[in-house]
Amino acid sequence: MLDTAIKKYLEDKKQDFLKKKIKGNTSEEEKLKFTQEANEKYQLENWLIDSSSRAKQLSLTSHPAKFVHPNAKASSIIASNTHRPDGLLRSGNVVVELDTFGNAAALDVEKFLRLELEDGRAVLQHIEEETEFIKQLFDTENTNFSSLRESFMKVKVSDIEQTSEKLKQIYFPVADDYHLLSVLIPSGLIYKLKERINALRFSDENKRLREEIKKASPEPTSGKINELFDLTSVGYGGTEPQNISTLNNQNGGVSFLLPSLPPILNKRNIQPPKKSFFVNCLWSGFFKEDFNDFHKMLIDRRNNIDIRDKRDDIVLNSISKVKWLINQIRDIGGNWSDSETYADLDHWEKIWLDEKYRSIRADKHQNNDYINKAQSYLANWFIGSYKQTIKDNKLLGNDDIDHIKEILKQEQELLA
Amino acid sequence: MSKIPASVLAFEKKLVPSDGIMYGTTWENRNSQVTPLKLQEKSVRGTISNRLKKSEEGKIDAKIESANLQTVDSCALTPEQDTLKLSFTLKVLSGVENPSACNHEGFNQSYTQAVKQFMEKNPGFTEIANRYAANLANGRFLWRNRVGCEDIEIRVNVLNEGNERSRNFQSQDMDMRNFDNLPSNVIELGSLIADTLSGRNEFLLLEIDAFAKIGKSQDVYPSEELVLDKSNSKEKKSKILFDVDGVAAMHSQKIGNAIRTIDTWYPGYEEHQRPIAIDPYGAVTNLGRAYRQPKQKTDFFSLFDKFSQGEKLDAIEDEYFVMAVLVRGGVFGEKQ
Amino acid sequence: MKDILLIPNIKIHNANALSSPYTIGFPAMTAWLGFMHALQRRLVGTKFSDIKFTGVIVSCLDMTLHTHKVNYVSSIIGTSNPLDKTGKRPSFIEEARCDLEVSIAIECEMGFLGDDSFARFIDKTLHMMKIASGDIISFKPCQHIEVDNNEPRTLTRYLMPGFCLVSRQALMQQSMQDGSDAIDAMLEYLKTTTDIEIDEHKQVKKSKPYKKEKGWIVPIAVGYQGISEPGKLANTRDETTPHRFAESVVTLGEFKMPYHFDNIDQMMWRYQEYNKDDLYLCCNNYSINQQESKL
Repeated sequence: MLDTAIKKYLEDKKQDFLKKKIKGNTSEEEKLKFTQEANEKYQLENWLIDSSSRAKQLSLTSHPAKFVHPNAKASSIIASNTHRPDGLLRSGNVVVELDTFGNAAALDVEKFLRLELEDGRAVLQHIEEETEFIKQLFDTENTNFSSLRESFMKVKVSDIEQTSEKLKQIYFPVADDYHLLSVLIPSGLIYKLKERINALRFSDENKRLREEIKKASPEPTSGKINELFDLTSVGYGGTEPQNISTLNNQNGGVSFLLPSLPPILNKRNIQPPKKSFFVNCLWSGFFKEDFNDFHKMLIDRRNNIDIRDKRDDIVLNSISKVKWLINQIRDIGGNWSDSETYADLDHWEKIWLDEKYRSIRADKHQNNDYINKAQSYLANWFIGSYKQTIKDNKLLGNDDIDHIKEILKQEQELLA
Repeated sequence: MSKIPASVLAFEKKLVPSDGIMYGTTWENRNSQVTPLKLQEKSVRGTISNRLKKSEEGKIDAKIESANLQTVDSCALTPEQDTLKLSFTLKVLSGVENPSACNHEGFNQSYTQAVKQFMEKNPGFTEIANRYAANLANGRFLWRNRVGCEDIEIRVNVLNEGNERSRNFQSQDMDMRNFDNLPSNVIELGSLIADTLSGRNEFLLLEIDAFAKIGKSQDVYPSEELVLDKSNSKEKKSKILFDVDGVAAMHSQKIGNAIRTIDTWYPGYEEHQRPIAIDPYGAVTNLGRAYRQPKQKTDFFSLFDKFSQGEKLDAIEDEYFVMAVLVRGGVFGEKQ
Repeated sequence: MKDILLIPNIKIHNANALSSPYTIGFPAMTAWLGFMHALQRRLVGTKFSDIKFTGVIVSCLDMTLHTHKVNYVSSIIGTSNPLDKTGKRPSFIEEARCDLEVSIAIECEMGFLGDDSFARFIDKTLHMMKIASGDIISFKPCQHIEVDNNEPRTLTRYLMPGFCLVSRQALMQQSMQDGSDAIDAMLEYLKTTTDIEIDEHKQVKKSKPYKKEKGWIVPIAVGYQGISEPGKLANTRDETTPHRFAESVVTLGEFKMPYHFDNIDQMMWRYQEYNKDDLYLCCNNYSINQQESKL
């Protein structure tokens, strides 16, 4: 019995062939000839002989080298790493199919080998596992299973003969020696990731809830909307993704990269203060979370070391943000404070913030004691802004205020 | 001579520029008061300036009305400013005799020997280094911003501890088409660079401030970004300029390209009369042309096969070119 | 006491931001340990050759990634490839770059010299090095400091204001033990969720968007996995070192302000001892200790 999937595959191939051959002006006689030719060509036996002979033009691989460089000629690896629940994203820890590269004219062979049969297994799997079904199918008058198997299995030959200068080759220290690693890209994994990202972003649940919210009169319901932000697209093979691999072509040559960035702030709009650093630069929204945390801590206060440590942490968090802002202003360069625009800025703040005074800052006699001033202003600013943000200052005791001043004193290096 | 036997061969670049940051100022106060230049986003209506097809001629009004709105970045001095300041640093490194990767020990030795011989020559690296110095002094790295300037001053500071020193150059006086008759202060700077490239000094740190008097409110030209956008969004900007934290800037690569625009030894210089950037094939991007063709054996690979394996090159200029490509760095092993 | 070599405020230009084929951003941990290792090799043949570097802490003070956001998904900003001999531009390989400012603390073994000659030697050497394929543009003078492992603030004050990367591999490990595959285990901690509730009065209630775990959790590249057996083959960088094909290995990490650590070791990254298997990893014990403290 011919499996329906194989039957359909051969029938489709036949129709494609005829579509290409038969034009509007083709005579009936010729039509008949082409039909006969097609029947012959796509009869199972002949197809097996033809396709098995072309199988060697293809390579199945888990890590096509062309993803790294379109001109890289390296071996076609089939990784066989084992699964372990070790918390690592790597080959072996996600089930993926092998990718293919090779002669574009042989890609129909790949399609055949990947056909899913009635029992859910692919043709190739049947061949590998030498099932009774495939044996019967392949043993015909002019073909025998074992030689067909040998030919088809050439797609899975993993040769490891050469690497390439086009690949990144990395020395990794191993005891007293090194191993040299040629780094390849697991195309199955990167496109599985893309598939999962898209499934998450465009899930039915997301769609259902979003549509419901938009309605003028939404139905009672509940659920979760899941999102992944700050993705970056990356292309392989430019305008010719088919030159890289089959899987790459199916994905239009574009995969997604997940963001791996520190929570660094956008500093594009930071300007030197015109009147006072504390008024102009320390907008309280920037510190809102710190103040909220601080408040939570005060509510939750037990006089144990953990809480006290946490209080320090929160204050230090804020100070380091302040330090970050100071650095950004200093990075603008020197001499800005000479301009009329900054006439109202206190001189000690100019010394503190303008790179022009860099050397003066180190000089006790000239630095106008700017650190002490910065420290005391900052303590007042923190307490004042906290009260303003939280609008409830009953919990803040004198000892807290003293403590904040104390931390600032300890960490005054940060303000220098 | 046969091809080099190393299939893996790479060199790190020996001239390492930073990005160039752009400021606006006035010529009078250029040393005391500068303001970072911001990029502006503008919407412009595209105009029809291409030749219309015969069939479209009657529809010109409709075409003009439907011209696309485009968003572009731009950058200009304010009405008070007449001078552009461009600042960057340049690090010069020694060690050109050592490849960063090479998988053939015998070749490594013959290569190192060939380079050491070159270093001992007179002028050797001096000729190349003088040209780099000239390209700092003449402000070639200002690119389009250099065109039509009333005045240009370049300040080069040596930052190496204990050897700090500042030099000023009047760029307007310098000839951009050749490197003959260089002023003595350029030669001085050149000899510092040559000392480093030849390994007599490990590294040289330079800070460059360029001042170009381009006129009030004039446009300035930062680098353009190459966005690998795969979407076909309508919001797509047609021109995106480069900034560093919101300040207009010039790519380090673009600055590097100007500094190594020293090749006057290529076939075709007689005609073209302009130095081109050091490149293995003498390729010039905006002309879409490669002046050094492998067929004529004037490309880097043909010359390097000989030079690195101890054979003499026909002309010292060929050696200059080979050494300058090595200073530029790159991956030269596997067949290109 | 620990001996620490502190390299403050290093600015790095055009570092490799393609930390793995799944992630973009902060350079892979292997790049930082690789830098430490390269610096170690520079000591060979000098009077500092007895000094051994055993671990590295990286605090990220500033970072600009060269991408451009058009719609929902950003694109990489590339550099143009050089022209080939026909004057044409060859096919594109996308490379992502970033500019960074970091402070690096390297843990050292063996006695330091009393004077500052070691720090000055490092100052000089750094100018000739690269980090994560990027150029070192500037840095502040290096320092040798002695710190107590249990007094992290003696060190962290030098790492402010920045963020230190630590491993949260245990999170992903737990999910995998519960049956998720590696991709799902990772995305579970990266996705942002909003709870939606619509009541009978047609009132829509949206929760604040939240993530599964508190803290700034990101995927990070921590090493490589060999995918072929070690051996010899053509076109390797050298002919004597055993060669393997390999792929990047990624897990979860967290960027934390340096003030939040109980001891210095929690921030430290080291080479994991190679077990003659497929894994070449950098490790950090933050995750492990967190696990223990919960028990």
